[in-house]
Amino acid sequence: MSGDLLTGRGPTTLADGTPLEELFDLERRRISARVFSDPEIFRLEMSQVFGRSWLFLGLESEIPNPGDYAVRPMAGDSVIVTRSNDGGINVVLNRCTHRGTQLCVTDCGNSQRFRCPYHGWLFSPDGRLEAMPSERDWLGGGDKADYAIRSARVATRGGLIFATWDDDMPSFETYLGDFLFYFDMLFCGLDKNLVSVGPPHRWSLPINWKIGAENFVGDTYHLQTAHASLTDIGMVPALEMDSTVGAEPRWGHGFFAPVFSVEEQPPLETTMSWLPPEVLPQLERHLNPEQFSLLRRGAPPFVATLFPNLSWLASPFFFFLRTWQPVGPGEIELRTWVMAHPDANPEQRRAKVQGLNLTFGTTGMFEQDDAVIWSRIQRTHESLIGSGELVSYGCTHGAPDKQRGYVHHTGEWPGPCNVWQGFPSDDHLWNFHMRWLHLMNGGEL
Amino acid sequence: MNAAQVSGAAGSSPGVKVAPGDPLYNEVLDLLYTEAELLDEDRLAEWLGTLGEEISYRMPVRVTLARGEGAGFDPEAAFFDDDLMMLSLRVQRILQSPNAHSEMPATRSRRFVTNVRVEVLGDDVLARSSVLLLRSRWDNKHFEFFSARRNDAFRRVGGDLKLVRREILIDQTVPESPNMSVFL
Repeated sequence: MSGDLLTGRGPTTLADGTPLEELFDLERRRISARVFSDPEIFRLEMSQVFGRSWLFLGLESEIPNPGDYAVRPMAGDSVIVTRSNDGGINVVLNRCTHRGTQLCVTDCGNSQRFRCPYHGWLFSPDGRLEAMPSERDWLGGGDKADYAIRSARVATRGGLIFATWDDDMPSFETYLGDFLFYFDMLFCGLDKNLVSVGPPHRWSLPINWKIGAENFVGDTYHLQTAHASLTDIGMVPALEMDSTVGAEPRWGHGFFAPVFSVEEQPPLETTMSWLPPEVLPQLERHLNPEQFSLLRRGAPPFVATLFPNLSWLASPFFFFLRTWQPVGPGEIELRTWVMAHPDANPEQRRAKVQGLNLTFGTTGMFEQDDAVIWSRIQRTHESLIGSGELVSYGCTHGAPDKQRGYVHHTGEWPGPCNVWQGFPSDDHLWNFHMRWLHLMNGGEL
Repeated sequence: MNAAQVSGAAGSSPGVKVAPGDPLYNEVLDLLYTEAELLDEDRLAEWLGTLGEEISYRMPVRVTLARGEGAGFDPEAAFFDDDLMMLSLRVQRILQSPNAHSEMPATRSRRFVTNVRVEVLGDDVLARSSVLLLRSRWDNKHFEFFSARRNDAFRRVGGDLKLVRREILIDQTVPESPNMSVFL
């Protein structure tokens, strides 16, 4: 273990003397399976990646009123996301500062106080110690203010709540980088923020979190094989691999976007039918012309991963967010939020839930198959010989430029980030792993 | 989170109780056992045939709430909220496509149905039951399992009772299985 973690500088070396970088074949784009299964690497990525990045916790709509709270994971820690009386959002460690008891074992509710069941310490929604039994005797000359719960930095955008433990992490908008353009297409294009339909679906999966996260960076290569059953029964048309994919080169986010040519440009009512039709005219007012022109070509980021572990899928019919929550090297909890417009009626909300259930989630006919395939990957990653083997990414298409690589049938791509079209190169998936390696090696935020 | 919107969640008894041993009770019990057998034996097409055309098949998402705040079943978010067409698509995929990897090879499952209570309410026969589903995948050492209470409604079509509503109230908030490609 290198001591570099403390200073945040220099390459990381594992306990057996292997430099982390040796697990990557940068030229041929291969990664040792150990990166997906080694407990030491998992512990390192908890501090280097999850301890520093902006992590998604939930929707503002889940805690609309003062005192509302939701308990959520931030990597291995449980935090309480609370709404203060002044409307502010707090993210506090779910831990009594006295002996460390977890304060909250419910998932959500409304409470003006969090009371520790052990000695009765009482905390406010923003983590201040408000009272305790025998206060004067216990404190002596001490100050209650010294026993406030540790809080994380909070950022909200478009109704989504994020938090980070790292005071040096730049603002959430900086962290989005050029991906801000695409994030806003989906979350900041309407008068009102999107809401979630109920609490997130949760289930556990025996895989490393990066397997799911990299798939949602936009692995369109797997569609025609892994999901052939849906075309076999005529539920969906033939799944094509050719696609538009993008990568935020600095921050590791990536996406896949379907694109229609200008001639076949379908109406927004078709490509964004998950929104009530009456709100669609708002998009042109909130978005800039480039963002709007991409929406008109049916090209919102359809599938995306916001580094490290927030992903979404914005199909024409339904829209969900999800986190690949790391639990262990080979275990995640998957949380999925069904999204809807706040003006959607009950039938429209129900249609979103049904759209998700048929396709993604533990009962979805796409994801049922992904899940077992991914668990078959994890089996080999955790075996003696298999863990030393390499996983491979497709050959690069090179740096995209405006003349080549871009949007061969739709003209010049109007958005930022590196964007490629055609057979997917894995350039965007590789970009995700390069960001991971950068952070793991103590690279600057 | 409004548990009151999930019918019968708190063991309510809206109908007239049918005692064990009653011919109607026995008929319902036989139906539930037959259904478990069809599903255990992967006879999914036959199982579809036992369902009423108007079936609503729901498994709500569950959260942990403080005692007194309800059972935690969400009125909207659900793992299943299927009608007959959706259930048929799921079955068709498993039976007709060689690419339904979640059930290729098929998982082996065993349903234990117990604690059956039967009531009559208007035209409907209501049945509550507990079900434990043990599921074995490949050569995995551990079972995947689901335990749940089921609130069913049957309606007589021709001479037969058909399942027209099933509400599956699971005990876990985080199901521990890569997928639910099985029916409860």
